[in-house]
Amino acid sequence: MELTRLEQGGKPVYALAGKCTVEHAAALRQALLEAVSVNTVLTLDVSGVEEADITFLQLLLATVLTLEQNGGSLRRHGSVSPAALAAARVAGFSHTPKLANFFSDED
Amino acid sequence: MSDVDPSIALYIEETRELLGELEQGLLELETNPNDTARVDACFRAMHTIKGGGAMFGFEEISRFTHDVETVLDRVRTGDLPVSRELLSLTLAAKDHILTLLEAPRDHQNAHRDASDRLLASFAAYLPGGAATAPGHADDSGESPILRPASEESEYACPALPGPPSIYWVRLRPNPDMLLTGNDPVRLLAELDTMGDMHVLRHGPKPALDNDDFDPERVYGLFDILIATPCAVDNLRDVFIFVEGDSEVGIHRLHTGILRAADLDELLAELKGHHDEDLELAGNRLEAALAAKLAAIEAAKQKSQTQKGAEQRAAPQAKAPAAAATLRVDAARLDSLVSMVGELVILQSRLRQAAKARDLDAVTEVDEDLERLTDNLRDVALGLRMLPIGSVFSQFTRLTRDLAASLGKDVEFVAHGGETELDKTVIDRIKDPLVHLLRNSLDHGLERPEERQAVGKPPQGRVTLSANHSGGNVVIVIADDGRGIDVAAVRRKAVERGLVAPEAEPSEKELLDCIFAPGFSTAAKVSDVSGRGVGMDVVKKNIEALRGTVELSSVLGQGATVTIRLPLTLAIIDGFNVMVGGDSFIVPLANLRGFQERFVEGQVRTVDTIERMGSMAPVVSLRRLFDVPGDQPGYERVVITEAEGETVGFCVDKVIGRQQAVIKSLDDCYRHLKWISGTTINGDGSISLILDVPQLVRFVRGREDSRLHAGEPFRTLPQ
Amino acid sequence: MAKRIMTVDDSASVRQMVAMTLKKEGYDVIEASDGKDALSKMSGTIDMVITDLNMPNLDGIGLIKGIRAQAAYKFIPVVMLTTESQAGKKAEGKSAGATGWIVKPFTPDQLLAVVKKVLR
Repeated sequence: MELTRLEQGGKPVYALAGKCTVEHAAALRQALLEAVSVNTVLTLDVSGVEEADITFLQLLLATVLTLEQNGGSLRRHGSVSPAALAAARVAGFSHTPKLANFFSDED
Repeated sequence: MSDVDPSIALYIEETRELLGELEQGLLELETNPNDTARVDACFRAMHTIKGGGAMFGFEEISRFTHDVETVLDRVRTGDLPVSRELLSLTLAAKDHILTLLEAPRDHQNAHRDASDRLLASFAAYLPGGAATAPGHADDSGESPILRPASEESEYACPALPGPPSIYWVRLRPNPDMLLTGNDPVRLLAELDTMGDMHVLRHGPKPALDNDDFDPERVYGLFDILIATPCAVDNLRDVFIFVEGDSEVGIHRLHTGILRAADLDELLAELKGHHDEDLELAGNRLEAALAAKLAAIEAAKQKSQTQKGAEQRAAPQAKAPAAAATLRVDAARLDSLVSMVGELVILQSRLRQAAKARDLDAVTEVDEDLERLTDNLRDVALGLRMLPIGSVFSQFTRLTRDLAASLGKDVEFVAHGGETELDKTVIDRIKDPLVHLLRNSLDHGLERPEERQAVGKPPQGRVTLSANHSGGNVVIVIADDGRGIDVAAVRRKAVERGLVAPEAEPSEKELLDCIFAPGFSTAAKVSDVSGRGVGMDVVKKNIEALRGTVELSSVLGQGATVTIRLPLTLAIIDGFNVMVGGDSFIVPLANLRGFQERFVEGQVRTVDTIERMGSMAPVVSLRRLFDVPGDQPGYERVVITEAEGETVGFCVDKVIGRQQAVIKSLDDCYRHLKWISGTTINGDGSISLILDVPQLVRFVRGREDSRLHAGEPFRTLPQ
Repeated sequence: MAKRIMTVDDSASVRQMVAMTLKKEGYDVIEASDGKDALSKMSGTIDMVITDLNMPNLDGIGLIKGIRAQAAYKFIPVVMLTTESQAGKKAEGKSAGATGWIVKPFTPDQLLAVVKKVLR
């Protein structure tokens, strides 16, 4: 698991890549907390996610909640990796109102 | 399923070993019934045999062992005491399993009756003492029914005939589910393969900065509607590992098809009601569905006849003949592999040296290669080494049963079971040992009352021991019975013309008569022994292994049989000696030293030489083998020892130490005495390997009669 | 990269059957003959463990506890081999952290079905 801050058109994009599974859940939470603390609107690129389990989906949902509590939002950059999309679909996270936009096919 | 065939051979071998351990364990329990570790080991052996039986196609073994295992389990948990009857019964079961193991697998049913008879006896030990139907284990519906996907089905389960059903599945994962290696996403992904699935994830949603949020826990619950042709059992199997810890509910809502949008609408009815129990939520869904169904009356059921679920037959591959396999200590294999690695390096060093025409480097490689070859040989031979204990343990049972049938009380003691011997030697020494043990029990040991009459303890004792001695393994069978009546042996020997009536043979020579064909002093022939067939065979078998056998006895106190065997049959260390143009190998194990002698005049085949202050016989190999060429005036004498006697061999030259890979003599040369085999030398020439024990015996036989300068022997027939 | 599975059983035949079945499917296999042996071989990436319960030295339950005690293997799937006569053991194994079980006797197909079920 790796969360990297990139610049895309002058805006920060956080690229999440690798295995986003329970082994790395605590680390990912820490990385996301740091990202959330400096961005009201957080842009995530999850195209490099190779493995995803329930912890990844819960962390995404939790991130949205924290961002929204602070008046911000979660946006997506790039496509959703097949692993992440499959996990979100079978576990219903792609239809959860808070994440439906994030996982939608548009943009 | 041919890919499991090697495992079948392994199972057979492993089961044989386990049965051996089981037997040993049972016998030890007889003397020490409270040894719980022993009971555990017996149970585990039976357990493993049973598990493998069903897995590798030995259905009858599996069926039979089921109850036996249950009984052993009851002993293990203390529900049943260890009794002599139970041990005997379990021993009988052990024998029966061996029979089943060795029977052709398609004829296992032929032994069913025998199984059932034994099982009937075991029934008394089962819970309540009542026989339970063997082979029909109570699965209590807990085992997963994991069927492979039927190829005819679009989904990962066999499709039921008729229209698909719509199930409502609720999964409320245990928050700690991840700690057992399970994951709701994986479970749902599996469920997804079984039909058209719609998921609602709801319930608690902790925020990222929430102090209580533990990212390694699972939050919320999942309500799923799935339209599937699969049976409810297939859906249930998805959750089999988490049922009990997590809340799992599966209900059939409807038979028939609903539009995807309708399913989503139905699911939405549950939103915000995640705290409701299954019944309430179920009622809510049923009501919504009824309304929906009424509204979509027009929707026709698209019948989707699917072929019936394919019965998955499990064709059982025929068992191949069990290959001869050998268990090898992994460390030995590792060292072998690393040595082969070194060998490869040496080869490349040799190539470089040869290219550079660097003789020093070649010599260096040669030295390294010699060391490596020595090690490699030892390790390679070590691969074939097995502890002799595997054979010993079988004897515990043998003596027990024999003693019972002979009405004798016998304590059997085995020492040195860890002594290692070549597998071939072990396989071939078993029968002779059985024979010798039988003799000890039948002829050697007296009945308890006889023993008491002469002031001995009523219980006789037979000791079997093995240990290393020089390059040999020495196996000793000793009993404390009546011993051998040498006078009786003498009478019999004279009667049979083995000994001249007026001769004064030594006790050792008389005892050797026992190994003559057809010799028996037993007054009556019993089932066990006494037919006079056997001791000669025993001797022959042992000699075929390049071993020797000796008998000693003290009248009234017991007899001892000592067997000496070479460690291996394949390679010996020896000294190369020359006589004229012929080359011979003297096995290092027999070699004791070198001397020299000056010869004048007529040379005798057997002569004497002074060695360490006493006279030792020497044999002129030149005369013995009629080697052509002139007799030199100065000869080297190779001093050897075998069977406790020293004999020298006169040769022209001693070349040096050499490893001899034994090539056994072809059948047409088997009548040759004094030669145990041949070996091919580095230069392609052939050396004959001297059979020192045979030569010693020859010398012993000729020493007195002083066979002088007559016709030299060449190929003396036996 | 092939997933690495450790098979732990004191029965060499079962171990070989499991190993062969898995290797044929392209998995890497590590073999161990009992719980103690297994723990000594736990290093690097191990994606799954399949263990017998009745074993000398350290039994399956003890092994599962030992695996769960290591951070690196806290969440990996651990499947135990049980027999129908071990219902109690199954519960004990589950509470020790076992992911699931396979009931002996089993066929290669059944083994693979469980592996695919629990392996990510």
